[in-house]
Amino acid sequence: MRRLLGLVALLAAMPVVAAHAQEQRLAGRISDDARVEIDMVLDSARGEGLPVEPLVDRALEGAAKGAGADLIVRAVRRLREELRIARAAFGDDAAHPEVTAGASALRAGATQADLVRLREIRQVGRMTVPAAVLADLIAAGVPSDTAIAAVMVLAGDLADAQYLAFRRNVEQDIALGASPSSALSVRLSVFSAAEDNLSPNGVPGTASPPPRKRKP
Amino acid sequence: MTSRVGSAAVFVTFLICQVGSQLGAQTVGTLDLGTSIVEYDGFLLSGAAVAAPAIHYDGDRATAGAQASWVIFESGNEILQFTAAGAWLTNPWGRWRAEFSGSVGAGKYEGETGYGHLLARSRVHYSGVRAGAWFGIGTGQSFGDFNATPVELSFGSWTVQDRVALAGSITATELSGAGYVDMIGAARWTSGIVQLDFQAGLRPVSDVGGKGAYGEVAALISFNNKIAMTLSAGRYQSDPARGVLGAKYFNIGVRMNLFGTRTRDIPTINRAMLRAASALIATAHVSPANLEITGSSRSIVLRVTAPAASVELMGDFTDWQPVRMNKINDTTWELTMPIPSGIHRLNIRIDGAEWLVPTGTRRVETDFGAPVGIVVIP
Repeated sequence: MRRLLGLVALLAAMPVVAAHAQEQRLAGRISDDARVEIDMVLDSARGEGLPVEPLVDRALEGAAKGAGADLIVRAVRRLREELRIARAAFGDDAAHPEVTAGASALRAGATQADLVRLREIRQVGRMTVPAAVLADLIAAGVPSDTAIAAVMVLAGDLADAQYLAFRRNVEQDIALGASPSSALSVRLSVFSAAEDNLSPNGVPGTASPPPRKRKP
Repeated sequence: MTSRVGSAAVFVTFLICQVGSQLGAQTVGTLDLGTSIVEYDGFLLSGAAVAAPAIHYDGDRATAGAQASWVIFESGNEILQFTAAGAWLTNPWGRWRAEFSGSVGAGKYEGETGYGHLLARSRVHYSGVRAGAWFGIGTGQSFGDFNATPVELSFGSWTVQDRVALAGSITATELSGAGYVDMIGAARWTSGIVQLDFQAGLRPVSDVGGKGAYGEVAALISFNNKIAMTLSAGRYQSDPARGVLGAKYFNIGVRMNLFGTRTRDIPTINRAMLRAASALIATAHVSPANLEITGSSRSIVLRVTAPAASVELMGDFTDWQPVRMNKINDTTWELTMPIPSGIHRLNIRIDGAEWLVPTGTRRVETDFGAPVGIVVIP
């Protein structure tokens, strides 16, 4: 009798648990069938300690773009896999933004080994910006090997703001017509020159202004 | 700009055909079409497509010519330029003759200030049977970013053998207190359907940059009187007096006779590139909207620059719900909101049209077919 009561109590509690696990922001924007599947993906991600927010965002993005339910579910599952790989590369203690940035880099073309190496080199500081810059460079057309090598070179030294400035400069050069590889090469050389001119307190001294070469 | 420049190029070609068809056999009209790889001084290597119609009149005592060129670089930027030149020779006094010539040119690169020149030159020639020499002086006005009155002094000599012509010259140019000297040697070799032109130069003195050696080689292979192939490569120096920016280049193309029968003696297509760039070149935005992000994660300012009646933004930080941006002026729109640090995805919509990726973000393709812009909030 006690076992039966326990079973009844468990059954009674299940709908409550299920309702609690539903992502409310998806309500009304995604079909019920797709929503059930996505909630299952979200539950598994929560259970693994993966960031859930990017998964919800991806589903909402699909809905906003008018994508079909199947496509949205596939996109969310794919992102969960990328988050898993990134988290494995960066470690269990990686913050959610770091894992998300790692997933973005994987999508751009980096490998899990690349992320592991990046983590090893950048022992101090978060991985969010370096991983984002890596993804940006690859997405901008820099060959993945070259981009990874560049980010590795910078990983040990640069603060996040410097990373973003570096990325912005490379992107500006590309926007101005430079080939991605050339832009990266030029900016790396400028970075090296600036490093050579750093004063003892780390303030740039007489480094030459960055070259403004671009395509006509 | 593409359609406007393209229309202008087509119009110039049409005009040349119309004018030339009314003239005699001494007038030749050509259309050069080609592709080039060019590296202007201070710029990166770029591919380019060139269309260059030209007309040339060659009389006993006068020559005249005009050429337009339409250059499209791989970046999508374009140049339209036009030059016209004419020369008139006096009756000979024994072996001596005077020549008066002039040239006018103008060019425009994307949204930049146009450039141009108006130059006049006179030369005194001494002509033997197979050799000769000249001394000349020229002046005029250069317009654009480099307004100046150039003064040119030149001395040259030439000789013609069976299939080879050789010429050499020294030209000193002074403009606005700066100057440069060019020493140029040129040769032409002709055999059958092939004409080869060589030019080697040295600029030993220069206050305007571009010192050193340079040279060009050009081949014209005539298949018949109507069509020829052009090949050329080399490096030429800047010519501030005419708005020419120095460059290295390789060009391959085809020259079609629009009227007349000669395909020779007209500068090969690379000359279209000579007057093709000014030193300051603007960036053409690929997207009609540009996004700037300032502030810290607690209060991020998103500023879009776009001429529009309304601008909306949506991204992961708005749960992919469109948010109307606030109008600052006719081209500036802003939105201030907290955005957590990390990677974010967004799109912009102008005047209710399709969602687009603004410049200032990293464009990535998505699983849903429509690209998004990626931004990083530190």
